[in-house]
Amino acid sequence: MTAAAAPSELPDTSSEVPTRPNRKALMIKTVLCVVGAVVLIQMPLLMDRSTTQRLTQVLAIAVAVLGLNLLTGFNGQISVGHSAFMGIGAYATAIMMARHESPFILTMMVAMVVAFAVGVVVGLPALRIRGVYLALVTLALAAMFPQLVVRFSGLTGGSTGITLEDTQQVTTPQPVNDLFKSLTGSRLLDNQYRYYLALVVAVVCFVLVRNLVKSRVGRALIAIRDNETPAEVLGVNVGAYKVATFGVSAMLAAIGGSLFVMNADQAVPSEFGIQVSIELLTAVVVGGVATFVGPAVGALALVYVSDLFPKEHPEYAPVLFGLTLIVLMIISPGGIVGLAKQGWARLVRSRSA
Amino acid sequence: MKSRRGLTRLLAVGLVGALAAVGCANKQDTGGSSGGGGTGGTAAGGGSAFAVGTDKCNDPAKATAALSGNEIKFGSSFPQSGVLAAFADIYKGWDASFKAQNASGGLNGKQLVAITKDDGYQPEKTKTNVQEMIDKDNVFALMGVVGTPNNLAIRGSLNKDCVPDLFAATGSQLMGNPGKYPWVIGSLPSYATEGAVFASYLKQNKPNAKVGILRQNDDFGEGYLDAFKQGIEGTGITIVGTETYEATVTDVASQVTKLNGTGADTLLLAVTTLTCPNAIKSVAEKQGWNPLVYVSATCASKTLMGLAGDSGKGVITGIYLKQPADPQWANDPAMQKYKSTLAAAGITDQKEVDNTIIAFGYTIGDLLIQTLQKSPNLSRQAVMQTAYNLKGLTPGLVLPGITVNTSGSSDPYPIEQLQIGSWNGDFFVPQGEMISYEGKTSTLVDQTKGQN
Repeated sequence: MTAAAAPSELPDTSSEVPTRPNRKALMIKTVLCVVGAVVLIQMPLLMDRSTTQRLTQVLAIAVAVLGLNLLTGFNGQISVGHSAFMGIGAYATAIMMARHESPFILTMMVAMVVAFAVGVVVGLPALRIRGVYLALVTLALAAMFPQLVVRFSGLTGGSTGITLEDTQQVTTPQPVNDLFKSLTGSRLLDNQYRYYLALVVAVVCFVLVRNLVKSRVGRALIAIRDNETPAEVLGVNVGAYKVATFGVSAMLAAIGGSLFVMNADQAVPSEFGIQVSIELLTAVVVGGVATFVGPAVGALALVYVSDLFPKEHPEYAPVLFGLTLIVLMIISPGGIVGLAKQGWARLVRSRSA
Repeated sequence: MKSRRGLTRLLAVGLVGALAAVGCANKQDTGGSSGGGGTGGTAAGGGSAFAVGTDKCNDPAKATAALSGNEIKFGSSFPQSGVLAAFADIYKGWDASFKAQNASGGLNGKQLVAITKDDGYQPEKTKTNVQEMIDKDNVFALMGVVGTPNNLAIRGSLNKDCVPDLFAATGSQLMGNPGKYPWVIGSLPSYATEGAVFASYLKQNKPNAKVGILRQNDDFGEGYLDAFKQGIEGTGITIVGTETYEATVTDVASQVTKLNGTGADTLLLAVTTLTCPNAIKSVAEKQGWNPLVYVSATCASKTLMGLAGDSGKGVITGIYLKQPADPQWANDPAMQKYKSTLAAAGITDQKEVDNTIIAFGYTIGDLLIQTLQKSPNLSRQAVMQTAYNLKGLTPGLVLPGITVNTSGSSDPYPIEQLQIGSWNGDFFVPQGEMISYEGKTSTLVDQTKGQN
C-alpha cells in the first residue's frame, strides 16, 4: 500500500528544464500558500467558538498524523500504537497541569521526552520484525495504554480521567492579550489563543518534518522503506534510522496529545484507545501517504467527516464512513492530496498544451 | 558503532526524564489536593437561599435576562451510537414529558423544545456539541447530558458561559459541588447515597453481616465504598473482603471466587452495565453459597437483570421509581399519566414502557418542568438558582415518601431517599421502609477525592 503510493511522491523536478508553465505553476503555488496562510490566520477571528475549538482539535490531530506519516509513509513501518503515544502526551500534560500547575509548554516538552523514550523502546523490535508483525506489537501497546491508565488511577484519575479546573486551563496570557488589543482593539479570546498556539506548534512541526524528509536523512528513510538491503549496502545505518524514526514519530504524536488536552481541558483513557490509532492511520491514508500536506488534510477529514452524514441517523455514520473510504481508495489510492495532485497535473498539462 | 552509542545515550536521557516526571507526579498525588468542595460564592445572595453568582460570567447580563420568544430550547448530548447507545432512552422519557406539557399549552405559553447531539460517550465530543448548541442553536439550558466524564468536561466552560446543565444523567458525587460549579446539577441518586442506604438496611435487617465488596476501580465504585464504610461504623457489621475490577473488563469471576473464600454472607456489588449480570451469575455458580446480594441501582433495568436469568432472583438494590412493570401501581394516577404520556409520544411497545431508563428520563423531564414553573422568571440564573433551592417536589414516578429537596452546597443532590427492592424476575418488589439520607449525602462525600 505504502510502496505503491510512494514512487509518485518523489517527483524529480530539479532536472526538468524550467519552462513557462512551470514558472506559472510556481506562481500559482505561491499564491495558494499565501492564501492558505491568510485563511489559517484569519480563521479564529471569523469563526465562532465551537468551530475554532474544532479547528484546534484538527491541528492537534494533524501533528499526530504527521508523526505517523513520517513513520509509515516515509519510512515504511506500520504502527497501530500511535494512540498510546498521543495518550502519553495527553497525560503528561494533564497530570503536570492539574497537579503541578506547570506551564503548558513545559508539559509538552516533558511529553516529547517521555514519548521519544517509549517510542525508541517500542521501535527496537522493529529491527527484527516488520510489516504485519510490527503492527501487532504496536497493537498490543494501543490495547495496553487505556488499561494502564485505569490501573494507575491514583496518578491518572482512572476511567473518569483528569479534568483541568478553570484556574489550570490554558488562557490568553496578559501580555499577549495587551499586544493583541493594541493591534486590533479587541480581546484575544482563550479559544483563539489556543488555536494560534496550536497553529504555531503545528507549523513548526510540519516545516521541520518537511525539511527532514528533503534532507539526506529523509532520502535514507525513503531508501529503507523502498528496499532495505540496497540502502544498507549504500552505507545507511538501517537500525539506527528505524529506531530513531520511531522515536521522533512517537514524539510528534505526543505533541498532538498535549495540544489535544490543552484544547479539551481533559484527558480520559477512552479517548486514547485502539480506535484512535486506526483513525490516525485512516487519516494518513485519506490525506495522502508520504505527502507533506496530507496529514493536515487527513486530520481535517477525520474531524469533519461526521458532519457529512445525516444527523438524524448517527448509527449509520460508521457504515457511510467505511463506504466513503472504500470509494476514495478506489478512485485515488494517493488520498485527497493524491487526487488534488492528479487534478493539478492535468491543469498544468492542459495549460502547456 | 559510534552512532549506536549515541543512540544508547539518548535513550538513557529519555528514560531518566520519564522516570523523573512520573516520580514528581506521584509525590504530589499523595500530598493530597487543594481546593475542592469550598463554599465560595454561596452566600452571594444573602439569606439562607443558595444564590448563583454571575460575576464570573463572560456576559452577566445574558445570564440574568429573562427569556423572550415563544419557545424554551434545551440541548442535550449523549451516546446515540456505539455500545452505550442504550442511554439514549433517557432522552425518550424526558422528551415525552415535554410533548405532554406542550400539548397542554406549554410552559407560561412557551413551547418546550429539545435538540440533541450524539457524542458516542466521548467527552471531547460532548464539549464541542455543547458549545455548538450554546453558540449556534442558542439553547436556553442543557438537560440530561449523559455520563460523568462528559459532564466534567463541560462544567468548567459553563462557569463562564453561565448556561445551566440541568439534571445531568450521572450519579457521581462529583456533580454535587455548586460552590465551585454552580451551573451543574445531577439527577440520579448519588452512588454514595446508595452505599449509605444499604448500610442502614443491614443495620436493621442483618446487624452482624459479614460483607464482601466488589467495586469498580474508579470514583463510581469508591462512592459506594466510602459511604458504606461510614455507615457501618460502630455496628456489628464487618467488611471481610474488598475486590476491585477495572471498568474496561466485564468478567469478574476470579474476584467473586476470592470473595467466596472470605466467608462473606452479604455482598455489595458496586458494578455497572454488563458486569452486573456477570457478577450475579458468578455468585450463583458457587455451590453452597447464598449471600444476600446488593447490586448498584445502575444495574436495575430489565435488560441487565434479565441477562442474569434465574440467578438474579432475590438480588436487592435501592429503588426510587415506581416500577412500570409492578402491578401494584396499575391504578396509580402518576403511573397512568406516565403511560398515557408515553403513548401520546408514540411509545407503546410494552418493553419500552417497562424500561426503567425511560421511566427515569420521564421523571427528570417532569422535575425540569416543575423547576421551570417554580422559577420566579425564566432567566438562566433564576432557573439554576431554583434548581438548587427545590422544596418538596414529587416528580414523575418517584416512590411514595420521596421528595426532591436541594439547598445549594449543603444539599446539592435531588434524590437522596431509596427503598430496598428485591428482583422477582420482572421488576424490583419494594421491601420495608423508605430509607432517607435527605440533606445528608454531602456529609458522606469528600469532594476533594477522586478529582485531581
